[in-house]
Amino acid sequence: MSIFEVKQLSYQIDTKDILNNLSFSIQEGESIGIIGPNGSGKTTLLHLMSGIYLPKNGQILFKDRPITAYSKKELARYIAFMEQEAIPLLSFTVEEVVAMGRYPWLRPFTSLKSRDYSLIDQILAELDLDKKRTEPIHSLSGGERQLVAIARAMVQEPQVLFLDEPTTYLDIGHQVMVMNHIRNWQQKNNLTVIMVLHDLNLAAQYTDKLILMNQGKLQAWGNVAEVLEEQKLAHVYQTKPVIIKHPVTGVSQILLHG
Amino acid sequence: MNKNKKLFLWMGGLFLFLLISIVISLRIGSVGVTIHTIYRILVSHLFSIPLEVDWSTGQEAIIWNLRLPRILLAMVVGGMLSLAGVAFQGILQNPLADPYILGVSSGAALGAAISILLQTQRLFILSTSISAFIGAMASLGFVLWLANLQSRQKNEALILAGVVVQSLIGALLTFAIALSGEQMQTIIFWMMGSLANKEWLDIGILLPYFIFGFAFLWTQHKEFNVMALGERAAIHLGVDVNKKKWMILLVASLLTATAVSIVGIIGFVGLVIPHMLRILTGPDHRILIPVSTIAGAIFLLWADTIARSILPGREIPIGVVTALIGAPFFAYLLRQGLRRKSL
Repeated sequence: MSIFEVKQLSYQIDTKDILNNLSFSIQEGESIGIIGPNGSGKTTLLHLMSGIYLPKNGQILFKDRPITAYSKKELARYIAFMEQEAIPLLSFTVEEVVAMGRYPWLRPFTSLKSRDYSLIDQILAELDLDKKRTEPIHSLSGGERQLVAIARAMVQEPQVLFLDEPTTYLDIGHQVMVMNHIRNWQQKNNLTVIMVLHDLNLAAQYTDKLILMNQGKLQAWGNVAEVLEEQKLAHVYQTKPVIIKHPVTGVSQILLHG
Repeated sequence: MNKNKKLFLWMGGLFLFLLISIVISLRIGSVGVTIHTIYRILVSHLFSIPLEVDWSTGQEAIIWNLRLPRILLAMVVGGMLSLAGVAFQGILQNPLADPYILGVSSGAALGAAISILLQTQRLFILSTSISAFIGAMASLGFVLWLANLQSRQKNEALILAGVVVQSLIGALLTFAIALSGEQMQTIIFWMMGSLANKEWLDIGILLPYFIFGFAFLWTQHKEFNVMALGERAAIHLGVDVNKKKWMILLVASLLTATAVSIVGIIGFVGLVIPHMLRILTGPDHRILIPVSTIAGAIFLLWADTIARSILPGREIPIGVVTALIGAPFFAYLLRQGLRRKSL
């Protein structure tokens, strides 16, 4: 069943076309990477699909209902969104930040129940954060903060996870750790994952399908091997890459001529 | 959960401190009245028990008509300003936001002063509060517009914008009072605040705003917490950030405006108290909002007790006391907080 259906979606900011007539659909449980050069409209597409921006032209159906028909809180029960966040001003602890993921599920004037607490405990343990639970969020490294963000998103119990550049500023060890955690979660819960990635090699390794964007248009859309083709990438990125097969996993990988 | 226990312990401790402060403050003043007599006067009034009168009518007037209403008014105003400070800091994500520094107090004072000078109360009793509220919202709007919330140096920009608006409004206020032929004393009252010559009625006017403001803001504690993660994170978690932001700014301005319309501008309460309590109890607004409110009440009660008793036979404006404590604290925060970018 398709969880997202995007139909003839266009978006302008101050008469400038950011997105131009996009149509595609995403199935439940898929892992989708959105790639493309800077300014190609990737993040705007993510914000439209997650309901932060309202579509002006075209339509986005989420579970067969227009995304605009959902209330903000309702949407937050289905959709979690991870992006590079500023470090909060206040010194909340890891545990407190993760617990805020339950916000969309709380009714007004109620607080967390024992079921919420056991979920939080379980997820903190799963991500190996239980030793850090009472530490203030400021004292963590960038990689640890990203783990906290994953934990908060998991506590939100969404069906869809959007990620905007989840690995920026992380070293390779932490990049793989973050991506593995997300993949495990996806496979265990049949989560739909839609992420904007700059790193094409990570995108190839961790997604089922790719959307290649160029100047607000859908340049290519399909399986990783179909999208990561020399001519397509050369056209979009204005540089000719070399494409090889990963010696271990067999997925397409990109090398640059330099 | 242990959070409930923490809230209970802090609230209990602060309430006890507040009660002790009230008793001590009732004793302080040029006319000495023993604790025993104070107790008997209070009991006879509060529970209308016909006790044998062993006190003078002078003592009774001093305790019941002068000191007690003044103490209660200081508590209510302190609670309101501290509450407004928590709300402004939380919603603007700025550790230095406070009704005084944002220029909201000045705007409220100008609004209230104009209404009083024009004697609009003769037409409509609440007109001074409303006028103060309009002044408060106008100056807040102006400060936020000047500071442009998107700007990178938003802490610094907000303070500069506040300074500009405060100076402008201060000048307008002084001009308005001078035009009306009033004395310097009135100007000082508005600029530095005073709780002298207030009555039970003034408490009655403020109490509904205080209760409403507290109840509204406390029920928003989850939203405050989530918004402290950043506006984007709050939107992703399903908070209608724009709506909440405006509602909270309105309520915080209303609290400031009504307090200022009765007692004039009293600075730094909303800055110092929430900060201290955040250091002591942590950033969770479920705890922070009520404890800051009581601590604000205690703080202003003591500030006013000092203001009325430190010089024998005369008063100093209460704003002098709060500024002497608050301004160095502000300077400290400016250096420390801005360098670390965290609190």
